[in-house]
Amino acid sequence: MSKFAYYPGCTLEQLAQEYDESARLVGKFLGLEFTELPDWSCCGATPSHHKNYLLSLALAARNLILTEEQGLDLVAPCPACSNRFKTAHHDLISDFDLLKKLRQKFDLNYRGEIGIFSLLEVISNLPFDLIREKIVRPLDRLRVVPYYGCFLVRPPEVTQFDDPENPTSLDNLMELIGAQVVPSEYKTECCGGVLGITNNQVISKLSGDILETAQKAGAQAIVVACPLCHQNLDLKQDVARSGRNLKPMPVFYFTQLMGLAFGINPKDLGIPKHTVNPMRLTNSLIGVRS
Amino acid sequence: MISLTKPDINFVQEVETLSGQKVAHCYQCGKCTAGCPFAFLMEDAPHKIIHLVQLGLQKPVLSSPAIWFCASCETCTTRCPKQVDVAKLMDTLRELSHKAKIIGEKSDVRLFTEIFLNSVKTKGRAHGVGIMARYNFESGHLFKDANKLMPMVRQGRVSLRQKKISGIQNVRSIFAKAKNLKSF
Repeated sequence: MSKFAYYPGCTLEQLAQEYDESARLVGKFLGLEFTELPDWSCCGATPSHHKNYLLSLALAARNLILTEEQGLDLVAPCPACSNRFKTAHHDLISDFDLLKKLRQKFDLNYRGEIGIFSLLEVISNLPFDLIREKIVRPLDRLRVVPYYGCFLVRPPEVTQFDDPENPTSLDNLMELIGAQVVPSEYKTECCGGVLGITNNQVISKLSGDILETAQKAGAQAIVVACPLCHQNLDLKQDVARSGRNLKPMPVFYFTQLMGLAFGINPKDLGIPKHTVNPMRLTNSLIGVRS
Repeated sequence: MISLTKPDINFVQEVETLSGQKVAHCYQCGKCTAGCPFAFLMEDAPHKIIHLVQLGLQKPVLSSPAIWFCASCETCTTRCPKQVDVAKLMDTLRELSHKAKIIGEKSDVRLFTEIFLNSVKTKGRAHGVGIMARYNFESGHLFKDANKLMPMVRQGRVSLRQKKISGIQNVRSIFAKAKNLKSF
């Protein structure tokens, strides 16, 4: 099935617009039909389950029910959102009492009959030949560390995707578009997540370690699939690099690098919007003099 | 009323019912702590928090700043050899701490949680700039990340206002109902 209800989520609507733009463009290129979920609300994010479990289930369920009404499966580019939806789905379909409680107390009637996917999952499940035939500009000069973070792969009973300790889906996609994948033992170590918002010490340690290992391994850039990771690694890279002898390192969304390989203009992919200037590297990858 | 100072078997039962986890399954191997990216900030590491729960020591657990340093990265849950969902336990402990109005000294995360959820309740979606402005104001870190704001405003990546969704009443009713229910 190549038709999906598309859930942008609050971050892609604002801070991570370039992920939203590049996701929709690349999706279209690959023949995926994304229809934005009408009147979607916040998935609940981390704060909802930090405070109240039932609140977290109900906020997620509202969107899952809207998706069921569309008769489609759900795709969320933001793994924080897809993880919330998968968690709610997992908990509700494995506990009938909970499902009943949601129905009786919240008047939320979830049947649990939809598929829920992160965007990385949808794209990496496509036949590779279909992706390969779209490539007009292989990124064969790029040395990149694929960074997965937490929400895509953990916990495995909930995410049902890739390997929780050594995932390879993003590695494979990067190799497919011609890039040289640089291995990193930090590929699933947390970047600081939501704690990065309130605590700079978290970013300078956790995101700093991710940047430092990537740079020491010879990577020119990091590629991510999560706007929260992007925020900690790119927007706050000055904090992450502080006290370390590191050069600025561009951080891309995987949809942006795929888009470049498909011949899409960097501006249409929102690449100039990043905090750490990625244009010099981008231009060298696509053979434009900067 | 549950005692906050003495070892309390009711506390163990409450945590187990809410979280669906058997804390007695934990044999204190420390694998959760070994893999926890935030352990460097915690005086009470994750395995120690579980031990305190096993002992029924409600107040030391619920007032420990450590429970607020968990970002739900789920590394512990993924690796526990006894299948204890440690991240879920941390959720439960935060929820109980909210309800018992016991706050660890590090309450920045808790403040952020409140402000974030309030934004969702008001508009149906989280409004990034509004949340950050209010967080900075209330936490006293007035100019935190202020240098990030102007470039983002110039790029049109942040809007100073957030529209309400049409189904805002559904969202508000979810908040109202969740507030009055126990989570089990």
